[in-house]
Amino acid sequence: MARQLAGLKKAHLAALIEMSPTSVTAWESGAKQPNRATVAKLALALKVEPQFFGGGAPPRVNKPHFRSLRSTPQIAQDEAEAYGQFVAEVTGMLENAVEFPEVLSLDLPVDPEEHTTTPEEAARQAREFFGVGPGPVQHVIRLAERAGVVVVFSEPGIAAIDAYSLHTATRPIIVLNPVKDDYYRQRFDVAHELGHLIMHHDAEPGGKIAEEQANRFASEFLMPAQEIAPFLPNSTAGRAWAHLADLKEHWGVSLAALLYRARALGIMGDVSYRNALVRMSQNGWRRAEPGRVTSLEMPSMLPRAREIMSSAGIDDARFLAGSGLPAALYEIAASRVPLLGRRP
Amino acid sequence: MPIGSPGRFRIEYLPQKCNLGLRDTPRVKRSTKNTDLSYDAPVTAKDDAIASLRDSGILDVLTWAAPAAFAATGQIYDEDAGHDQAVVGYLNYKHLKDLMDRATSNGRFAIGDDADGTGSDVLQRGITPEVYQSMPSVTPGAIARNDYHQSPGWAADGYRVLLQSYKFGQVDEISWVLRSEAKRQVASQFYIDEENTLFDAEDFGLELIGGIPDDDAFVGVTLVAAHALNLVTAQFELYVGQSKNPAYRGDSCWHWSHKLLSGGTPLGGMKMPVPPVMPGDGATTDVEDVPVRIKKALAGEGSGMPNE
Repeated sequence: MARQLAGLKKAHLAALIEMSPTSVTAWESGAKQPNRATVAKLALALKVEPQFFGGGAPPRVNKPHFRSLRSTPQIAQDEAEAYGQFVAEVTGMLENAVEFPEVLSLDLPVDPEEHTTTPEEAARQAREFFGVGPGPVQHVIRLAERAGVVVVFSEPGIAAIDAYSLHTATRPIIVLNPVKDDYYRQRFDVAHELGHLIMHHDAEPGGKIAEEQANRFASEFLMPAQEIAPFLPNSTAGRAWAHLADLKEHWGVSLAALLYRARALGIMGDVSYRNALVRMSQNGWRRAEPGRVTSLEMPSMLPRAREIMSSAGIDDARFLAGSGLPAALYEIAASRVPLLGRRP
Repeated sequence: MPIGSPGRFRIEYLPQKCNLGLRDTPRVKRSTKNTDLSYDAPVTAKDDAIASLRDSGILDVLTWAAPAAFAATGQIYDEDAGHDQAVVGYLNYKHLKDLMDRATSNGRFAIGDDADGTGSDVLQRGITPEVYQSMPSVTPGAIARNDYHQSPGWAADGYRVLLQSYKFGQVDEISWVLRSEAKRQVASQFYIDEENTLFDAEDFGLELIGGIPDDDAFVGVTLVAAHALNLVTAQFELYVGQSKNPAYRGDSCWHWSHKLLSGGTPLGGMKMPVPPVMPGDGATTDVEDVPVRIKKALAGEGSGMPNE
C-alpha cells in the first residue's frame, strides 16, 4: 500500500532497497515478512514509519469506481486505491475516539440492462431517502456526510484521476480531485460518485455503462426532470443565456450540464444544442464557465474530528503515534480545502 | 418545389395536384365496407401477415433482437469520440443482422452438414448472458435467410422481412426512394388486400401475384422491419409493415404498419406553464458541519489503533 501511495513500481522499489521484486510481491501478499533491516530500508525508501509494516492486514476495501478507467494508468489506479485504503484506516482510527454520523446505507442496484430499476428512478428514491424537498440539493457534500459518507480531497499526486468512490469495511468513501476547482462541476462529481455508491455496490467498476448510469443519476439527482423541465430553454436565442446563468446559480450545476439536460429531455433540439456548444467554445466557457460561486463545497467530517481531537489535546503526532501512517497524508485527508503542491 | 417557381415547373407539378382530388378514394371505400370509420379497422393483409410472422417466430426474434441490438450499440456509442446518428444506424444494422442470424441459425451461425447444432459457445460469444438466455428458440431452417439486392432478409411461410433504420419519430416519413434501389423496389410491390381492390381478381380470371416485380428468387410478400434509436433521449421504436412509395405529396409510406416496440419517456415538447419562482432554496456553500462528538470514555486519553 505504501508503495502504491508513493507511486512506485515493484521493480523500482526493489532496486531502491537492493532486493528482488519477487520479495516485494511476497511481502505485499503477506506470504513473507521482511526482516528488521529490510523494514528500515523500506521505511526510508517509502518515507513512512517503520511501524507501518507491522500493522496487520489492511482494512478490506472494494475496488473503487473510477471514471474513464480505460485512460487511467494502472499505477495511478493502485495509488488511488491505496489512498482510499488509507482514508478507511484513518477513519477507523478516528471512530475509536469520536462519533460520526450514522451510516445510512441506501442500496438500489442498477444492472447494465436496467431490468430492475433505472438510474433516474434510483435518483428520485435517493432524494426522498435523504429528505431532499423540491428544488436543488443545497449542499451535496454535506448531504453525503450526513448519510455517513466520508468525503475527502485526494493528494495532488493522483490528480490524473477524476473523483472516485469506494465501499470499505468502515464507511463508504468519496475522494475528490484537488485540482478541479469548479464549484458547479464538483457538485456534479459528488452526485456522480453518490450514484455509484448507491447503484453499483456489487458492480464491476469502470465500465462505460456504469459511468453513464452515474451521470444520469447525478443529472436527475441535481436537476429532477419534473422540476427543472419547465425552466429549461429550447434554444439559446434571446435572453436564454441570462436565464441559463440564473438556473446555474439556483440549481448549482454547470451551463454544460444544463444544456445537456435540456437536450436529453428532448426540450432542446440537436441543432440548437450544437449551436450552444459552439458559442460556449467561442467564449472559452468549455474550459472555464462564468459563475458567481468561486469557493468549493467543503468536507467537514474528518476536519471536524481532527479539530475536536486537537482541542482535546491530541495532536496529529499523538493520534498517529504507533500507526506508522504518514502525518502529511493525514493532513490532506482531514483538510477542508484541497492542499496542492505538497507530497508526503 | 419552391413556391413561386417559374411557370414551366408549375406545369410539371400539375399532374400531382390532380391526384390530390382522388387520394381519399380507396380509404372511403374501405371505411364504408367495414362500417367502421377508424383507420385502425381490421385489414386483412395486415392481420394475415402479423399472424404468419407470429407463427413462424419472426416476430419473437425481431422483438428480442432489436432491444439487444440497441443496448449493444449504446455500449459502443461515444459522442465524445465523434460518433453521430450515422454510427448509431450502422451499428444497429450490424447488431440486428447478427442477432437475427444468431437466433435463426443463419449467416455465420448456419449449421454445417456434419454438425448437429451450432455450439452454444459460439452462440454466446459477443452478447450478454441475459440476451443469450432470452433468445427465442427457433428450429434451424424454419426461418431462412433470403436477401434482396444485398439487403439481408429473413423469410418463412411466404413472408420476408428486410431491415430499415429511420430517424426516431419519423416512421411515417421514410422515403424509400432515397434509401436504396432495393427499398424502392420493395415499396413498389403489388399490394393485395381484399378490402382494397376494386374488383376481385377472379372477375378477370386472373391470379394476383404479390411480391417484388423483378424478384424471381422469392415468392411471397416482402415486409420491412423499421427501427429507430435516439441515444440522447434513450427512445427507441420498432415497426413492421408493408412499405409503399407515396403516390402524391402527403401520401403514406406504408400500406400498413404495426408498432412492435417502443420505449423511453422523454419530457420533450411538453408545454408546462412556467412557474414564476424556481422551486426550493438555491444551492449554497453556507452550511453547518456534520455533528462530530468526542467519545466520553476517550476524552483526553490516547489514540485509536488501526484495525482494532
